[in-house]
Amino acid sequence: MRTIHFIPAGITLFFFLSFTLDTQSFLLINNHFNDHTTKQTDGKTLYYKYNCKSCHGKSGTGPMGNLRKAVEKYTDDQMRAYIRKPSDFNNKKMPAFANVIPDKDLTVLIQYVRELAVSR
Amino acid sequence: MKKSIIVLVVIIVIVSCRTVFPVTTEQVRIPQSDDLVERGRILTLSACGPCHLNSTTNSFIGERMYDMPRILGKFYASNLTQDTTHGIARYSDAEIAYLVKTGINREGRYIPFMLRPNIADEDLEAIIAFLRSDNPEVHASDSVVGNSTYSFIGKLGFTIVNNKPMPYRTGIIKPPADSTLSNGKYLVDILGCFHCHSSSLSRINYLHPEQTKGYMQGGLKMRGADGDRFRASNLTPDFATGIGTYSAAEFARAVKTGIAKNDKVLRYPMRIYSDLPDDQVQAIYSYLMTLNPVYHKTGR
Repeated sequence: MRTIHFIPAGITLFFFLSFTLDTQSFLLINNHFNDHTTKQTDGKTLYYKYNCKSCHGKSGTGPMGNLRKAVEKYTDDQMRAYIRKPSDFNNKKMPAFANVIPDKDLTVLIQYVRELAVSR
Repeated sequence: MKKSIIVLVVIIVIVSCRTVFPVTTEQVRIPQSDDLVERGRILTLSACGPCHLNSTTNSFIGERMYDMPRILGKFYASNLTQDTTHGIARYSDAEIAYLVKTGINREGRYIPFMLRPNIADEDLEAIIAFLRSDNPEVHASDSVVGNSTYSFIGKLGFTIVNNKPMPYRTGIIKPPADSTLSNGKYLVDILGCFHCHSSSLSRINYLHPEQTKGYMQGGLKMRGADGDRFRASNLTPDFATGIGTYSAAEFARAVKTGIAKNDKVLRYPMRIYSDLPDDQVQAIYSYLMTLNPVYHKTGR
């Protein structure tokens, strides 16, 4: 029953902070956050957008295919070809991203995957 | 207090007991022919490959089943290659057929997964012919990806709740090639689409798939290979929450390449059925479009 009292208390606190916080500093916090995220252009965003994470995991070492091994084995051009049509590399389980990931995104994505491989 | 201890002891005893079912004594030998093996290859890749084909080695040595609820244990699809120790070389053709249809292996143990009691005899023969062939995907390999282990809850579930092998029925005839809807229904059954795209693994009706709870409405709670939780998609032709807005071509693209409508990438454990012939994908689509559209949000 006690938790019910927390809800109005939380709402009151939210409005109190909204009205009393300095607007400028509030915006700066947001800008700082944006600066931080754009730096990764967003290889990481693309990695999540194209659902790479669901098989390869956050760190690229996921159970359905370890990308750290892939970057050692393949050149950028080979990785590009692999992502577009995995069946050409005898992989029957990975989606074919030809006509899905634009060339520009693919370059950023491959770069991010290479960065992932060195960030232990 | 005394009562609950007795109940607990009884449960532990039941769980630790292993039920042994009668095994087959049939002696059948499936004839080999190039045509049968090729047909079997496509079927095996589509019906068995999603779990048993290893994505690293591209052979049927099995794979970890990340989509199984972890509370039940840790599961691995078995090695289906011709290896004598870890593969299926020890199995006779009749034993493989019996296992696929009833779920009972050659030791009399019930394996409550991958049951296909309605598979047509000719399809099962084609699968066995392929598994015995000299195709590199089924060459003997002694690799073991892992051994399945059941948790206490898993043992309890599979001993008490789900411990009923399917009847062994032979003489099952495949739907006529020109009957698109019957073929679609049959494919949804033998490819096991309804296992995941319904509402509960424990409520699957293998014998009468359409009687499965929430048949093709999705909602089954699953886990991805990355550990994320989500629900299986609704495949009824509902416009808002199902595949009602999908064209046949969009559906085929999703099934065969893993890329759904609006370039949405399908995620594990949905498998890619690149080897499934176009007419079979079309049959599945046509059949699904005849189902009652059910508004069922699955969050995807």
